[in-house]
Amino acid sequence: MNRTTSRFLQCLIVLGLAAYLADKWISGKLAFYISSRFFPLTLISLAALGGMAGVGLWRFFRSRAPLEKQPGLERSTISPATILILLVPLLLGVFVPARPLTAASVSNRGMSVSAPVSLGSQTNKTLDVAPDDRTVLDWIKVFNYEKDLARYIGQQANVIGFVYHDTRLNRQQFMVGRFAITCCVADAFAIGMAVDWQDSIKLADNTWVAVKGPVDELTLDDQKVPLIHAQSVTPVDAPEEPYLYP
Amino acid sequence: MKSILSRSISQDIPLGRIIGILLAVIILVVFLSFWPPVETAWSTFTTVFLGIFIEALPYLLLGTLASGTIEVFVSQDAIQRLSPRSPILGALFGSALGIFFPVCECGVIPLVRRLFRKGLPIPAGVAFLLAAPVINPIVILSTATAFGFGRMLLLRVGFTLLIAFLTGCIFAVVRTPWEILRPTPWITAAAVEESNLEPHDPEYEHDHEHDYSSDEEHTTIPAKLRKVFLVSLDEFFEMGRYLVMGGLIAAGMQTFIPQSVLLGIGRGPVISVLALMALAILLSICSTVDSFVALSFVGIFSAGSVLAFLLYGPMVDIKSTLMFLRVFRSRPVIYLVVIPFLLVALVGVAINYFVAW
Repeated sequence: MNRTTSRFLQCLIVLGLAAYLADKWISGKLAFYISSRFFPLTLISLAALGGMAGVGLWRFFRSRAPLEKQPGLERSTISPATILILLVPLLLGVFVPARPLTAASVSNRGMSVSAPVSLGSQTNKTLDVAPDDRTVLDWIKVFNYEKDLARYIGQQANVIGFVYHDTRLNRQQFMVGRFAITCCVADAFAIGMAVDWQDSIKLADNTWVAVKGPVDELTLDDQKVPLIHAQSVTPVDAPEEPYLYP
Repeated sequence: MKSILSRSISQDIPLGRIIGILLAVIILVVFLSFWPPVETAWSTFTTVFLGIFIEALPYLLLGTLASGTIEVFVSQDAIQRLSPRSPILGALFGSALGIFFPVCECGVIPLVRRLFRKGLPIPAGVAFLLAAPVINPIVILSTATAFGFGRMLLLRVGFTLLIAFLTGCIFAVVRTPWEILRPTPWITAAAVEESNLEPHDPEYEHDHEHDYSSDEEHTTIPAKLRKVFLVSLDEFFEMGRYLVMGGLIAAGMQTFIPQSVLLGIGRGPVISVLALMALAILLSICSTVDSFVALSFVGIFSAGSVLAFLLYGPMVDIKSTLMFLRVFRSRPVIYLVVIPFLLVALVGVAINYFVAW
């Protein structure tokens, strides 16, 4: 591979990465990887990658002078092996089906029932969400930060999440879990609420369900954590934004 | 010196083998991600890797564009005029320089290498390298958002400055940059001249005939801008591969080493500091967002260990260590990893023992 070909290959890879990012953004699947709060940063990537590919390719097609006679910049200074390493994210991104983290990832990270999430941004407002709108994360926050839990016991919970059978629970119970991420999936942590449900054993791990029922408290690992006495557990589609943002 | 330079230029690994290995890895991962029993682990692995890559990409690109801009628009004279001669002032200057360059640890490395090549003294460069990922407006703002304007922010900024400064001073023993810097095929003509090096590689000399700055076509503003992009393009590939490799390693660790091993360690005043520093290395999160992650450790981990996480993560992690290896020779990289490690550990443990939080 000569250096002019190398440069051409570089431009193609950079263009490919830009196309990949644009596609993931448009399809909404970027949310599988990073928090939607950081989506605008991907615009910077798109602009920079597009600029690089544009300038690189423009030099090829514009000039009538033979490439070898042109100034050194037409030829890459980077070895072909290095160029191919940048193909790895592109190929993985294109050929491995895009999937968010699943319940199976929990086993390695552990499921937290008392996520110590964002002290700084913790205000009464976050706790003031109407019971019906509270996510798993909101309920965990309530149980973490609210002094007077009695107020919340018996309120009706209506949450969705994936099924996870936690070994700390009994056979009639399961966890309804979510992943919370702050910037990207590298910092994801799993949180969950315990659910009392007779047919718990019949639910497969990682099925998405909607759970409705009054909230009670349960003591797990010496901590008071939320427990839902489920009145209904219905299978639902996985949400488009798979993670919660603390 | 001559032999070192040419050796590093011609150290390309055989192309066929690389392609073969890459294809094998990709086929394996794609295959495994469809294979039911291990499906989830590999799917997690790919997702985490792409997450790290997509998140870090804009910062790396900004860093390479900044580096390209400096290459094209900032003269060597300007850098040398601005940077103090004395190593101590230099280290001080370097550790504060970050305030003008909002880059994280991925972006700072190409930038610092460019500044070295433009004649920035070593102590200033090393201090800049270690401090810039924290001492910059974006990171200070995100730390303040997470922890509030309190002592965690002050301690983070203060100790980052101090540790970067001290490490920079230690590097003042280096007499010429070439003792610690790894030469590359595209060293600027001036830098080569200055250290009386004659590049030996025929391809290099061939390139060298077309020295960018002497070229008529590259003097107009649009031409200069195009050059910025082309220089950045090459640098993106050079540094990006460490992001890819570091991301692959970090994703592998996250997928296959249970975090409970580290998180179970909890509150011991010494062990918690070491545990969170290890986690900072493993997670390899960008410094612009790591304070939100650190926040999730408050309460489980000692204050000193959370501070250690905030101090060490931006200086050293898997991907930045790999990038260091591209800029520095191996021994200086060991110093760059170990000296801040010891200093940060000392600070973290001292906070745990002597400060009531």
